[in-house]
Amino acid sequence: MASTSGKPSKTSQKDKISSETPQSMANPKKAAQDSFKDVASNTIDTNGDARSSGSDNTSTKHLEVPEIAAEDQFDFLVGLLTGSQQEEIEEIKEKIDDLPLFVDRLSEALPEAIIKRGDDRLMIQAFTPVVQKTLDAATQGDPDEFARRLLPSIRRSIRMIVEETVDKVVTQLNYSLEHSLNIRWRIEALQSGRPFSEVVLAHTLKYRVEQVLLIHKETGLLLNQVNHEEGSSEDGDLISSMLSAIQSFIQDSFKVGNQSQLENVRMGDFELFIEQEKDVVIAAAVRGVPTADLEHVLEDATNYLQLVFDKELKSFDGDTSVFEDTEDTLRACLKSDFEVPSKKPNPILIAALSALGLFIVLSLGFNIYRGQQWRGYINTLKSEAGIMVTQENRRGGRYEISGLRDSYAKDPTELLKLHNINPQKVTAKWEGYAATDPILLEQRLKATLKAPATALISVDSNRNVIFKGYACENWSSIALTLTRMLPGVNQVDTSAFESVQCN
Amino acid sequence: MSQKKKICMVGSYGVGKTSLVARYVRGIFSEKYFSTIGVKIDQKSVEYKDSLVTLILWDLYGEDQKQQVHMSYLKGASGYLLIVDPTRPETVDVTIMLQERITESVGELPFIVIFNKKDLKDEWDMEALKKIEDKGWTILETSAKTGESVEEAFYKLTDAIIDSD
Repeated sequence: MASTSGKPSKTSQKDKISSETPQSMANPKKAAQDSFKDVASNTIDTNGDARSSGSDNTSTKHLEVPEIAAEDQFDFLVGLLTGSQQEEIEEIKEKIDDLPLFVDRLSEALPEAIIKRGDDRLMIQAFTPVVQKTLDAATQGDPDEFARRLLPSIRRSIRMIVEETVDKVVTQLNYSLEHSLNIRWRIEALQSGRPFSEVVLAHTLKYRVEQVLLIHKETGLLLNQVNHEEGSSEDGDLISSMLSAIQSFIQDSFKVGNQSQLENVRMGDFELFIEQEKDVVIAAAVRGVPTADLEHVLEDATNYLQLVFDKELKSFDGDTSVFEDTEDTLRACLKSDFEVPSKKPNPILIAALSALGLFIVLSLGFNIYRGQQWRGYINTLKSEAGIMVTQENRRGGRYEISGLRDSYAKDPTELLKLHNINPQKVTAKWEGYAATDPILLEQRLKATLKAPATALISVDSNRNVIFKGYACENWSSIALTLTRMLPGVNQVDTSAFESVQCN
Repeated sequence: MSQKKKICMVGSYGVGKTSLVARYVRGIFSEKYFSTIGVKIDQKSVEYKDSLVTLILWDLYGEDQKQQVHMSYLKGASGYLLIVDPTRPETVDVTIMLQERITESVGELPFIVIFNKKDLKDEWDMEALKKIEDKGWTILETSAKTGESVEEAFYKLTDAIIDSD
């Protein structure tokens, strides 16, 4: 390589070459070699002059002309012409030729370049087959390893799908239960002769994409179609062409230009959503009022198909078989949404349930209250002298009671009133018996013996009968005999009693 | 292999385009579309050699003084049939003019000229037809009434289209 040290200024060299230009046109290399000789000899002359006169400042530059072979003289001249740029060129060349260095440089720029053009369709188009082939190789090479790496994300996805499916099933079940009992809809189905399911659908369907058509924009030909119902519609070809015709008609008739595109066609609750890309159109026939995300779904599908099938769309010659792979994308557009059973409770239902709850609570409370009343009554009876309860029962708001009752004991019916129990609801069976209670014993003695006013009869707590005062002998003997025979009497005390003769 | 081709039926008013199509195809759109947007779409599948070709036929409203054929309807067409009523010499000029307009709008496309109403050949204006014959275009004589050569017309056009692909 020619040395650039001590070379003359670029300006002088360029000027020199410029003056040689006509000659160089015929044989550039020879012309350059001649120029080189001229430059060299001229420079030597200049130096010689400088040395002899010593008055020219340019003489301070000293150029040593190396001895250069004739075949290298052209390269030397090029070196003189490009000057310091040659060094830069050499550096760049070195960087490119040095593969490891080039790879290093590229690796620094590559991520940024990909980020910058990440949304570029060409970039995606370029990467798609590479990624697909990489995945193919990975799955074919070591499927287990591939599966192991995917497992964490797949597991999460599966869980989400299962949860979503279960949720849907439960919702659907609730929905079915809720609506299967709808009498009004059953009547409507009977009257109209339509299946009940269809009537339910008409009332609960928010929207459903019935059919999706993939249309080649230029020709209006149908490339593929999917339907909500199984089996394909033969009319897809005609519909897609008619849509294309309608668009052309509108563009021509109203001079809206090719930039304006048919977007939606609506009739009643039926709407045709049309998403257009450069070469492809997706038309979705929708029944009902769709949610806003449907348009995004259609837009994404259209963009995606344009991107992936860009080449096929542009070179479309009527062969639709290449578009069979679009089915999954189109099928993803077959969205639907049903009225989900309201999670907000029905106010009427709430009121009814509340009333029922209140009724149950009140019934229970009342029942407990009645039970306590009855229990109180029974306890009162049990504590009363001369009454023995042998059996009692409370059922369905009615009462039954049976037992033994001394005729001198309190009346059980009267006691019912104390406990606010309706006597009409009580069936009572009382058998008579003579109680040995001192009080009742005393009452019975007094009633039986009919003592004169001069004689007093009392019974103490030990059922000892005490006679006091005096009475005729006839009465006294009978009274004392009867008293001693009376059941329950323990002893008869006559110490304070005197029996007197009466006429 | 299955292919689809868009074919247009073009011609003056009353030359028998719709009758030719009706002889040939099944459609779902009624003729009221003519009066609304000026086109009626039908389809016909034909067995061409070893493959099935679905022809999507755009039956365009007949050109007359009131209404012009929308040239945008021919966009994306693979070919077209130019229908002439040889009993009406004025349809010949319209046919030539339409061919020029189509070529100007969408470029050179395979087409066949149909001299329809062959069943009325005695009434044909042979002198007027000569203008078309002199063009050197492919011509076929058909009768939508009897069905004569109707299938052949569509088959020949399909053949011309596939040859040109």
